[in-house]
Amino acid sequence: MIALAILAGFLTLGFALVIAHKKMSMEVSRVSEIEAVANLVGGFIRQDRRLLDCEDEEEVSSRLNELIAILNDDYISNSGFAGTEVSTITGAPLIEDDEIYTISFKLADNLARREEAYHVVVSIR
Amino acid sequence: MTLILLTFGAFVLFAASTQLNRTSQKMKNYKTSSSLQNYATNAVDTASHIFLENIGTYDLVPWDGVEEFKSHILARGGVEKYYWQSFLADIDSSVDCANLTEAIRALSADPGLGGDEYTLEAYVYQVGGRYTIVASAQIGGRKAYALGLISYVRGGLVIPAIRMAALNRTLALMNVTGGHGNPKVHGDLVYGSAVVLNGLTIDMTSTSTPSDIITGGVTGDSLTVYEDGDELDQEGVNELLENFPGWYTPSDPNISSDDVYNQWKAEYMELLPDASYTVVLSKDQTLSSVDENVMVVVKAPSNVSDPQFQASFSDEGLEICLGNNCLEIPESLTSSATLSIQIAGDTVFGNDPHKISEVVGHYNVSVLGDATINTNIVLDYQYDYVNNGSRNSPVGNKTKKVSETIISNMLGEERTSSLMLATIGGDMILRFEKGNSTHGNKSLIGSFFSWNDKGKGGDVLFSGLENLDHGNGHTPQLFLFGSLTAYSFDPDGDADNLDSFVAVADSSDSSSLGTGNGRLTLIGIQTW
Repeated sequence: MIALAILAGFLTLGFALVIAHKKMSMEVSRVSEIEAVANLVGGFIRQDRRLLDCEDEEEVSSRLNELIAILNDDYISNSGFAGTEVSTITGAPLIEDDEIYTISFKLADNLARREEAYHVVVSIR
Repeated sequence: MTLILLTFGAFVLFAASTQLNRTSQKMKNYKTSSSLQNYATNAVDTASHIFLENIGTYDLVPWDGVEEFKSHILARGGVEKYYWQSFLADIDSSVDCANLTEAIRALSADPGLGGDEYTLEAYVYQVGGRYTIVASAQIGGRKAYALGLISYVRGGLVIPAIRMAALNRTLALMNVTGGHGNPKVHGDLVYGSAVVLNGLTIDMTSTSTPSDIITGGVTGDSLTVYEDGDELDQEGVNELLENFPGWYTPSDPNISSDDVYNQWKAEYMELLPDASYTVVLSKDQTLSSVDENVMVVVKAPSNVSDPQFQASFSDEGLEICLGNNCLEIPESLTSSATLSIQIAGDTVFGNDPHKISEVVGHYNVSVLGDATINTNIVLDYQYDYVNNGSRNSPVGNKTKKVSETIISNMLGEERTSSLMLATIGGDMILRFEKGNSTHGNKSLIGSFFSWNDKGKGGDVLFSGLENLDHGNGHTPQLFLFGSLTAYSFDPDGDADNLDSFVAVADSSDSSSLGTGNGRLTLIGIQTW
């Protein structure tokens, strides 16, 4: 009887661990994916020649609006990460009245239903 | 039996929970590492911006942490670490640098620099005419480094790399794939400005700019633009050009392209000495002296009609032959004076499209007729950028992987030789050849001109391109460093078989319309 109770305990713990493991595995793959997309998008923003050629904050803002569409329409999905998209991109001067900006973007993971924020610095000097 | 099962079950549960803990820890480490690298990269961007705004105002001091940085890189496996070791050889703890740590930390509350959670450092070293930035981001005992390279780029200057009335080629955005040793390059790049009088067509993408194809802008009478494969209407072209003011300059509609071309030709002819003396190639001869104000005219004996000359550059000088009779020009004569020499008849330069003809000295060569380039013509100080032969074999037959870093390095070399090569009343024919190991490439370094005279010549033509291999790493390329002036580029449409055309303007070129080193900018970042 005691042995059966212990066995039942092990089984319960085992199921809990299996569920936790599955959840953790999914989490790992989502984190890996979202970090990969963050690198991809960060690199894209750093190298976007049209953004680097902007002359003021208004032009930066306008280009960032275009970038959301470019990234979400083709770039991210064509790179094999269809479950993730950029929900917002904003730019703010890192130094007041200077030509250097912190570009902040949020990545939305549609499967895990969560968002992560990332930041890259670009100089349009 | 039950006890055994229970024990086994306990082990399985223990192993599974341990693995979960490990995975969870790895995930945290991965995120931390990724964030550290991102903030180190942002620190380089910020430091380079601040440094360039205040260049020349910094006190220089040594940084003792540089050895730790070098150890961090050199501790990594792979052959790449040896390249970095070589790259960083000029930097050590005895070399002074500008310390931008305080300037960076003053901004570290910004989310782009980690919101005060990370400890940031940044130092800038001058290495020759360029600057190397080393930045780090640290949290707890974990640290990431990033390195940035600041160099001169000349995108905005009006130094033409190509000048022509007609360019029978759509210049497409360059795309480089493949590894360092075997790059596959599709598309075109003009690094400098371009003058294409009778209309230019470019093929770009919605994320690129016209400057990604022609860095310094174009002058011409019309512009056709393809974006992501679709031709833009005039309104679209106008809108594009409004976003890039100064990139496109309409040519004067009151001056014909022929008049502009003839003006270029007149400017070139002004460079030729008025005085000359003639060498008739009826026997072997050696030139004994060079006078910059006197042009040597090489002619065939009067009984030879339609002469076919053979010319070859080497580190011993220049040799011009007609049959078995040759004129030798020793390299020592042209080391400090420019030899002006005119060959009166069709001339073939080199005898193997895969080999390199090394130009050592200073030459202004004009050919009265067709000039066939059956080699790669390379100035001595750029030789290593073109040579890919094993055991110093003078071979240059691989596609050049073009990047701002490589171009910047080439532009930074000390000039020890120069070449102007022109056809007058003939075409410049670039001969390609299929071979077992060649990728079908042609490298030309110098200033090249093809002048129409009395209705003859003035074009750049291609020979043998149709036989070249494509695919499997073979992307035939014409790589020009200097300038190319012609009436028409590829009027026969043979260059469709050319996967890539690269033209880089050289500011030291004596025929350039402008000079200068350009502006300093951050051209690349590497993060560890």
